[in-house]
Amino acid sequence: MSAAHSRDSSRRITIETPEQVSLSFELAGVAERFGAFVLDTLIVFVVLIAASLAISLTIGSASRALGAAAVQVISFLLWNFYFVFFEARHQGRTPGKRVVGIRVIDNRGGPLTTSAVFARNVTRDVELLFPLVFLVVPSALFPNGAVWSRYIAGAWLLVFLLFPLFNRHRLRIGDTIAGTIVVRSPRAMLMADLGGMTQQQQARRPRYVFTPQQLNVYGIYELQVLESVLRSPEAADPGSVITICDRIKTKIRWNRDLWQVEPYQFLHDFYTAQRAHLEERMLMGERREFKQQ
Amino acid sequence: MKSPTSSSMKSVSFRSQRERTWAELEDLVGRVEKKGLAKLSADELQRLPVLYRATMSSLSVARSISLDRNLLDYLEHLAARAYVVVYTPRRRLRDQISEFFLETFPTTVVRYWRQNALSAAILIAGMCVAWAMTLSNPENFYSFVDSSYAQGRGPEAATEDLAAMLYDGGDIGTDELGAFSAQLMSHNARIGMLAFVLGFAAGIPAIYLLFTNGLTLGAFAGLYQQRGLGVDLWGWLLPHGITELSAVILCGGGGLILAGALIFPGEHTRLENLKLRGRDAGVIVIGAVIMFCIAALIEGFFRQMVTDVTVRYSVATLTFVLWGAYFLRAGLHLRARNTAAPATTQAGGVVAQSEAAT
Repeated sequence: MSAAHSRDSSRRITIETPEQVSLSFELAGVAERFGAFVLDTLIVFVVLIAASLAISLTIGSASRALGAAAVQVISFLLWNFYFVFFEARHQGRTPGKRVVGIRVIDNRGGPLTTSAVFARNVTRDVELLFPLVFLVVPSALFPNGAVWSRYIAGAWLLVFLLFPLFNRHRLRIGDTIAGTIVVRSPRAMLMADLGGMTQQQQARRPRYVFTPQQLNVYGIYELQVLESVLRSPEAADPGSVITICDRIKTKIRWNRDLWQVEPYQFLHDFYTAQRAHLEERMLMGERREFKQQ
Repeated sequence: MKSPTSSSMKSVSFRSQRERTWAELEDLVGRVEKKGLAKLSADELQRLPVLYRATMSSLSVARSISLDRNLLDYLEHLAARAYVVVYTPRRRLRDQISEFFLETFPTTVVRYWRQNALSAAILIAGMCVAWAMTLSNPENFYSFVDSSYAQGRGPEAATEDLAAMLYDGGDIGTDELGAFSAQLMSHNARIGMLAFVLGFAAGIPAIYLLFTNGLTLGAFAGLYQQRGLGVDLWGWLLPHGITELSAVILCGGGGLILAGALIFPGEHTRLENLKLRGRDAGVIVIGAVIMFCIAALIEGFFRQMVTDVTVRYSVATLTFVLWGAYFLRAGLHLRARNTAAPATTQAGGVVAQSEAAT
């Protein structure tokens, strides 16, 4: 995960939980949401076809009319309540959303209620199905209406379809009405603390010592870039570690007499010293985000 | 000057002390996400909120003392996942359903009585217009009803044929009645949901839908009355119509709630308003969909099987009384709660005068 990308504020939403801790979620992209929708639609259709087959073999062979009725009721229930059921029962995730890794949450930080789930799903036909039908066969809308009325209605429906493109959070109308939002399911692994020490490291530490002047050069942003480098596979590449090492040594005016260092150990020590320094200053109420200009 | 060594870093010791709590929470949350809350043991269920609160506080502390990006991301993501799990309504489905029908749905309907009354007024206005115009000149019938929908029940039909339509069906099998019922339900429920959704477009489509439904109804009423079949038509229509038209009116009302939130934003922004009222409107529409199902059952079975006018009217009256009592009860509850609320404020000694005035 690239830190810079995930911190992009326009792609995140912050909600405040009842404990008054603010949590930030990464918004799901239009493509992810559409992908999940397509998956769910496929599931609905497969289930529907299977159910219709089963019905036509059982009830349908006894009475055609009753079989047709059963199929009609099932397709009504499936299409309208598949999404509601799963979002209400599985913390805002339909099977499609689960596969894609997104979920629905309440955008004010409260629990996701069944009525909110219903409100966001009941609008889907008008938002998606009708505009698509209109684009493909304009005459299907208002079959008896005048041509101009059809186009006015069509334009109106296109507003529904394109609505997500005209607001910051890419909300559908259903989400707007229900007060919900679709976010990426958060997942992050806790990795070893770079500031902590294994016994082996403890034995040879601290090898490089830095003066406060040297530690005053960089800010939090640079510290965390260094962290992501040390945690990334790049850290295994000696070439890039040496390059970064040289850049840091130049910047902090590292002692010319001790210029030759063991690069990985040096970066590690620098990271630890830098973080301790900045954290201490943060505790004093002095938070420096970037390096000095 | 000596530079601080890692062991003195608060964030490092903080992490090593709390790490185990986080791992425990992560494990529980992971299991709930996969298998649901029901699969947790009683102990684990009690542990969950404790671990959640501990992790929330860890997050707050970490934000103020740690600069370890990975730790902060991890805690934030874990807290977010746990938050979703912890704040999932945990009641049993049965309790949720009974609360919805005994409390949430009827009180919401009563709370938005203005919108619902307006919705009813639009429907009735459409009915009156078409009724009066068809009564004065039956040829107007087709201005209001599409010929494909009328299915031969137009002004050109003989009176006996029109009458026959109302009393037909005594000999149809139950299977076909079931099919008819199912068709009615899905069709009507769709129209109802549409009326609600279209409220978003400033309410104009919702109003249009209500009004044209009223026109169709009024045109039939006018035509039949002109042939002296008024009593028979209403006997045919009302047993299920009371329930069905109420559901149409409620869906329209839901649409008008959304429209009102957009057009008259009041002290909130339009988007906030939609959020505030959209859910209430959603509640009304879910209830209305259930009402459509009930109406479809009455229409599909009862109407076709019972042709006696007196029985038809008795059933119509019964449904009216039942729905009336249902919503009236909710209204009384609501009033009881509203009068109880000011009493508590008075006890707090904040506002006595203004409450008394309202």
